[in-house]
Amino acid sequence: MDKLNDEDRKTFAVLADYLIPEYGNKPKATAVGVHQELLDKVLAVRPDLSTDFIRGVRFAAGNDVSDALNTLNKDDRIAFDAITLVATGGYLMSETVREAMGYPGQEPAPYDPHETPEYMTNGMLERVTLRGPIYRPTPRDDD
Amino acid sequence: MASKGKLSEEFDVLIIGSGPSGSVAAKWMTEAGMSVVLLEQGDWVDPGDYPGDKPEFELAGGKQWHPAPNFRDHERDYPINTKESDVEPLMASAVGGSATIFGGHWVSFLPSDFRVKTLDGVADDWPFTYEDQLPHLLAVEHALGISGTAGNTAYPPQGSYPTPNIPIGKVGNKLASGLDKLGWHWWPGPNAMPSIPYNGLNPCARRGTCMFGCNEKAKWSPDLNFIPESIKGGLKLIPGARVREIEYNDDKQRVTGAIYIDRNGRERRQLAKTVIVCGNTIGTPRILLNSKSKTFPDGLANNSGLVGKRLMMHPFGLVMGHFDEDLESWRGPSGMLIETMEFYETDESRGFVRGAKWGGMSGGGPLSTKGFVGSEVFVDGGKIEDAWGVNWHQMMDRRFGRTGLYAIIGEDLPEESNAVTIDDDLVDSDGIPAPKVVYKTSENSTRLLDFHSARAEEAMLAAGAIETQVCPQMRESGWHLLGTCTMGLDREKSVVNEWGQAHDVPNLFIFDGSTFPTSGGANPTATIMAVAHRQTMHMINERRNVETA
Ligand SMILES: Cc1cc2nc3c(=O)[nH]c(=O)nc-3n(C[C@H](O)[C@H](O)[C@H](O)COP(=O)(O)OP(=O)(O)OC[C@H]3O[C@@H](n4cnc5c(N)ncnc54)[C@H](O)[C@@H]3O)c2cc1C
Ligand code: SF4
Repeated sequence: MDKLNDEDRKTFAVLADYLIPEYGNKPKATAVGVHQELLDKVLAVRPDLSTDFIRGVRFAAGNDVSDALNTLNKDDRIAFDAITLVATGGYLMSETVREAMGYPGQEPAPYDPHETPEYMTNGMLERVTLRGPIYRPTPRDDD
Repeated sequence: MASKGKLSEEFDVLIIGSGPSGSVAAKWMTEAGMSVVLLEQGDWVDPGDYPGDKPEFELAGGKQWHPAPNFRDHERDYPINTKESDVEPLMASAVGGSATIFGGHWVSFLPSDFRVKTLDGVADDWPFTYEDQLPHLLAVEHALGISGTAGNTAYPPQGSYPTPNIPIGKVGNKLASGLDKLGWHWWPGPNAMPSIPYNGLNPCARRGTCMFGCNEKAKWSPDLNFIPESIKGGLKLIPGARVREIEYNDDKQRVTGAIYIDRNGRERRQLAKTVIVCGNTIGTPRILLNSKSKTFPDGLANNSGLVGKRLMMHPFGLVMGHFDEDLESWRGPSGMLIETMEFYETDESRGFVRGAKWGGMSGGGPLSTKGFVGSEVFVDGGKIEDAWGVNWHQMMDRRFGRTGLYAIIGEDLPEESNAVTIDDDLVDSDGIPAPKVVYKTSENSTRLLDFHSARAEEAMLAAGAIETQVCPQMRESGWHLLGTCTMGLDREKSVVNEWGQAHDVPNLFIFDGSTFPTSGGANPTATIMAVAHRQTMHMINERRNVETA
């Protein structure tokens, strides 16, 4: 299959905004560059998606967006999945989007390992202990 | 078959595979002064290369860092024909083995797991008991710095863990509250990741990307301490060394070492007095079945005909609960937050035997909102508009950061028809014949998963979930690979004896999970390492008596 071209980006832009429109404080897909820099980033991480992605995008070119996506979902699920994964994968990498979602990324979360946890003081774990052992011991002959 | 390489030095012990089992043998044997060489087909992984701390981590988890070798397509992996398997086996080929990408859920088997025949009339008892392996479990836990809370009522009293529990977070507390309401068992999750600096490991920073590799060098894997310590103690590690076969001398009736292909594609021979195979439940029988001789035309140490048979892969159930509040459910560890053994033991009125342990976990990163560690498990149906557009945003708002899940690990009973064989055509990148897996999920497993999923959904609702999802059995769920070189006292019905020594070849040993007679219903690595430690200590103690080549 050919390389991704400008026409493909334009088609994908329309598909991406249909899949991920503006909503509340969340921007639409193209507003964060899902069809531009983020598309390049996604395909650099996942070159394996490229062929299926381009096939799907070219199928959709010039067609009604809803018809094209519904037909792909029915008849070429692999291409449909590639398009949606590229769109969401790129979108969710955007700093702007992450901020709007209140998601800082998989950052470290410092804690005090010696702090007594709440379940130790509010009786929750004690109730388990008070119910007693639940295991079946090794049969006696083996002892 | 002649080797083209020059003759190597003969070592006391040759270990194949550097995962949890092989690294236990390497660590304690080098400490005991034995000369040890370790052949590992994979390479060192730089923890900085793991994708977890990069924004694209979930995308990478769908391909390069996928846990299934058939998806990743790495040159260091071997392909597996899984066309006739309901479940895709998962593993890693690296210095450190599959532990480089394991979840670190540290769940030792229970007393009943070693006595399923006596207690439940199914499968086989182990040749030793829970109590026999306990000191070895404790030795391993001490070396790893397991974090956890003492007093779990699902086990006989065991003493405390070497490091305090990692916080169970908002999700852990939420899930525990549901179990508390129902009066069901739960316990804070023990994990193979210390909460304080320990033996070369950093404390877990709760990044939550354990199954994509730990950038913090907090989640234990052998490459972080066991292997480097062993190298300091004299271990010769050869990474990129893919064992094609173990050589057997028909006259001496002993194995003499192994033929491997090095990183440059050159064939080499490694000599040793004793060979220990730790290639995991798929890799180990593959090596034995590829090692043919006059004495063993059907594969090394295979007089019983059982090499490769009785493959067990825990049936896996997944139940998600979405809550009406922000639980920061991308936070780690993942790792277990909590566990429950409420339905672990057999109750035949449920329509199946044996049981399962559930691990309570966080929902994960944003792309996992519709799936679980890289696998999309909930497939949309109907018109795409039902799932996309504004509906997609609303789904993300409802679920992302607000999701807890139960990972249900059920016991799989051994059946000879579930097996690893050698594929007729498939080979790895060195031309070595590759394995084929034939595996069907049993009726007992299906019933077990149905029952447990229904209970887990109840537990989610009791915790206040406003929406639940019960996943149909996932194909990419072969995390736990067991069986295929069964351990037992009867040489007609097993491949190795209670010390991991092949019945048919006195200087050939297997120390990995392939020797497990039954699978338990718990994540197996704690028990794999405890058993490897038991066998290692026995070999060290008996070394003068072990017959050598
Ligand atoms: C994604 C994932 C998550 C998991 N999570 C958990 C968990 O949370 N808790 C738990 O208890 N378990 C978990 N497991 C299972 C756990 O990883 C295994 O039980 C454990 O790694 C088994 O150790 P091992 O040494 O027997 O095998 P492995 O770790 O698989 O190591 C075997 C090694 O042998 C090498 N090898 C194989 N064949 C050859 C050959 N021919 N030549 C040279 N080298 C060879 C391989 O490259 C590999 O490095 C998980 C597994 C996966 C894949
Ligand atoms: S949660 Fe802890 S162990 Fe897991 S990846 Fe993060 S720091 Fe490592």
